[in-house]
Amino acid sequence: MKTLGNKPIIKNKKAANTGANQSFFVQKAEEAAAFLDKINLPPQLVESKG
Amino acid sequence: MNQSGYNFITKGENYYEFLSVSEQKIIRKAIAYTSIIGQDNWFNLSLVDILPDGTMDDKSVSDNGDMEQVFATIIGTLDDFFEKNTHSKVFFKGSTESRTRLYRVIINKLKDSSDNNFQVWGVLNDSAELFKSNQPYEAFVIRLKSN
Repeated sequence: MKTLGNKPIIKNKKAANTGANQSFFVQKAEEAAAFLDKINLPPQLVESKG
Repeated sequence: MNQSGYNFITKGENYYEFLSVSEQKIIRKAIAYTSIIGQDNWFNLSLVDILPDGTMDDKSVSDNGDMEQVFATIIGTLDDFFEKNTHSKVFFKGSTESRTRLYRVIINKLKDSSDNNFQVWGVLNDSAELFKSNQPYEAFVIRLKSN
């Protein structure tokens, strides 16, 4: 990444999307799954068209 | 909501980064949409600060005075995400109660905006309903109106 429009250049080039950080997001998704398990979802949100 | 968001870049599938900029500081932030196992076509939205050592922090209080602009950036990434994941649902919840309250206020503004294609649901007392103003929702679900 060099610039974001006219915003400053990010100097820290450490990879953000590393395995450790993937685990962070997976953990958050697992927390969301646990939360959703308790939710009574309406049909409009349960139906999957994908 | 007329606030424009920050420019963002994509880094891998469903992962975005941008800079939150004020006169006081610049904060590197990331937005990730992560598939929720066991829920077809559901993704969890995470908004995090990227710390100087590269680790993620979703609990820090940035206090950079630009929450509306940050939220407008999230909307920008939602547009991009839904282009690729038309039938998906995006779940998100503040990492703290105060952050969830803040999201609620901002979503209220989003709901009143006619220039988006999102349908917003609120979760309260273990059930979900179409978002209404002034409800103490604990979490939110966004999908495209056309679905």
